[in-house]
Amino acid sequence: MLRFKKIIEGLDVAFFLAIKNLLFKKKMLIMIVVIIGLGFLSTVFSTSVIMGLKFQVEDKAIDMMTGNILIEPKSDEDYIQNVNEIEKKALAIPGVVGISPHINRGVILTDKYGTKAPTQLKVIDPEKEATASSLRENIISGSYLSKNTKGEILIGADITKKYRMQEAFPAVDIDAGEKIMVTFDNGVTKQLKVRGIYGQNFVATDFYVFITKEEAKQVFNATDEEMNIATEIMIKTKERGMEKAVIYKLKQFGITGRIWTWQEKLGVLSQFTDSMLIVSQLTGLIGIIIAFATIYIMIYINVLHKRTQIGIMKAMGINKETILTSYVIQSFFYGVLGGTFGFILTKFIIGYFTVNPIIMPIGEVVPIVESSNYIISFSILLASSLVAGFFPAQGAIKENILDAIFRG
Amino acid sequence: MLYLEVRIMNKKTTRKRVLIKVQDLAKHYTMGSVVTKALKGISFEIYEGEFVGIMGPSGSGKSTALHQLGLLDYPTTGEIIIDGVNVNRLSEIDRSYFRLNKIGYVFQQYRNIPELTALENVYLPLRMLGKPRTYYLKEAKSLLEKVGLEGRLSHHPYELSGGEQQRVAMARALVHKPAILFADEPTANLDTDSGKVILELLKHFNKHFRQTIVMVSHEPEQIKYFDRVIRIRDGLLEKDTNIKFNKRDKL
Repeated sequence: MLRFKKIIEGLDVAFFLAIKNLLFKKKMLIMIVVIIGLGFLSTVFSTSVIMGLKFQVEDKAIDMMTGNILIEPKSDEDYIQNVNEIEKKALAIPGVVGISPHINRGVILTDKYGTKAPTQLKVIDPEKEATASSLRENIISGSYLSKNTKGEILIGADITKKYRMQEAFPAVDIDAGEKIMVTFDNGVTKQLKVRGIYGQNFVATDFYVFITKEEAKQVFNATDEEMNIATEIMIKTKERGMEKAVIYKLKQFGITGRIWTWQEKLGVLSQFTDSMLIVSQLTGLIGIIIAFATIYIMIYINVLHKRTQIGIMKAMGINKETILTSYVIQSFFYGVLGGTFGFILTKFIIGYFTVNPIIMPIGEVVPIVESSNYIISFSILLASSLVAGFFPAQGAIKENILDAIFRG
Repeated sequence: MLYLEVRIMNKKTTRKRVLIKVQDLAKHYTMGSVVTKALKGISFEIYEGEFVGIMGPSGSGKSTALHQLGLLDYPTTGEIIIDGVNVNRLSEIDRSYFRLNKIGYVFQQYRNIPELTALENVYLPLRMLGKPRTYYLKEAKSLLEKVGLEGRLSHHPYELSGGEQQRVAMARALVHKPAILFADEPTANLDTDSGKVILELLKHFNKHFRQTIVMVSHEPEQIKYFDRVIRIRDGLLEKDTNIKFNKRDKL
């Protein structure tokens, strides 16, 4: 209690000494502030890039693989029936902005050199597909399909030798405008013209081929009624986070089948990106530890150089509590100034990469920082500064006055 | 006639208030198995308004004695009573407060706070005592004027000469009007002229403001400034000489 009283009584002098000390060695102040600021940057920035990457991976998967919601047939059925009715019901749900049923089949592409590339065919209505995925925007050569296109095919970049980003799949030597032999899983082989090549720089989605329903009707010798089925239905919502509410409505409308959110469907991929995030948070933690150690060493050296001064102040009658408080206040300022500098620096850098995204093999990645990340990093660095200031100063003020003055 | 004068002097002395009473003061330092006895039990009294010199050869224990009196160190045995307070019995916080209120200290190497200007160095004890800003500024300026540094108020210690730095240290030690000013060889690092200025100033404060001063010195020519000299040799009190009386004796 007495100690607390002394701290309060000495606050004015503690503040005075702290400010004088901070401003006296401006280079030291700047150095510590920069180090704390860089600690802040390293903590927030790497996490923000991984967050951006995670968001990008998820976004691409949502765009081309799952939509926000994916409906699949019941486990004991091959197809979803009455697709037109499901479409109407789904589009009536607030928040649903697009829907595209797919009929998935197997095909083998054979190029003019006889190279074969087995892959997955998706039968789509191009107009509907454009509401639920980014296929139309991802055309990198040629053009997109139109509703009544026949005799033409869209091919994923990763199964073309010319446009593939990685050699993950067998690829054919083909470009838009050329013709290719397509063998469907019902045994039909047909030469189709390549209408366009699509690619979104994502290994998990750039290996499909697309044809229209009109073309499929010929290939599979099916009527409109027989084509009113789907292997999967992609539903696009206005924004992320609406999935659960939409699924609830879908079930209320009596839509059956296995209904997945994109998180559930992505499964391992989602876990992978979450794991990356944890790794980046660990990297950030190491950044904080390094920043903490640096702050500790610098303040420790600073205090060591001030042993004589601490001894003189004690000899003058300035109590230990006041001296300690002055060092804690200095550390507080180091933390606040460093954190603020780090915040501004990080904001600037994040802002730069938002305007000029980082080019990665997966595509353009924009760093993403949540406000909580800023607050947590700021708080941790501030606490680190206080600890780094408190303990060396506490050690120094305990020293015998004469030892401090004459051996400091 | 001389006997009568001694009687009169003694009578005057005994009428003075005892400000410091030292009883069997000893200080031992232990380094491993070796015990060094810096002070072996000394006793003396210092009266209010006196300018006392503590003298003796190097290693005699004079600075050690001053450190004990100035509450910078703890004696091994013995008692120190300052202004009626047995300082050995004070808690650490009370010792700190006692130093702030009752004691001023001038070190051999000035020991000003480098981050503070001359004015800030001087007003720091008053600010620590919680005095109002107008008061501590006025007092500090006034004292710096008295020591001849009115033109150096906003200078940092590194911008001042040794003599000026020591005058700042002196002003800082006196600003809160301490009961006793301790000075540990305050001229040892100064040239003769600067040293003389410091001694003259100390004498001035002693004479005109009745400031009690206890100063460690090993320079015989400084004796003329003292009222009394306590000589220490090998940790023991060798001699306690009343200089005032001797001066009269010579006359």
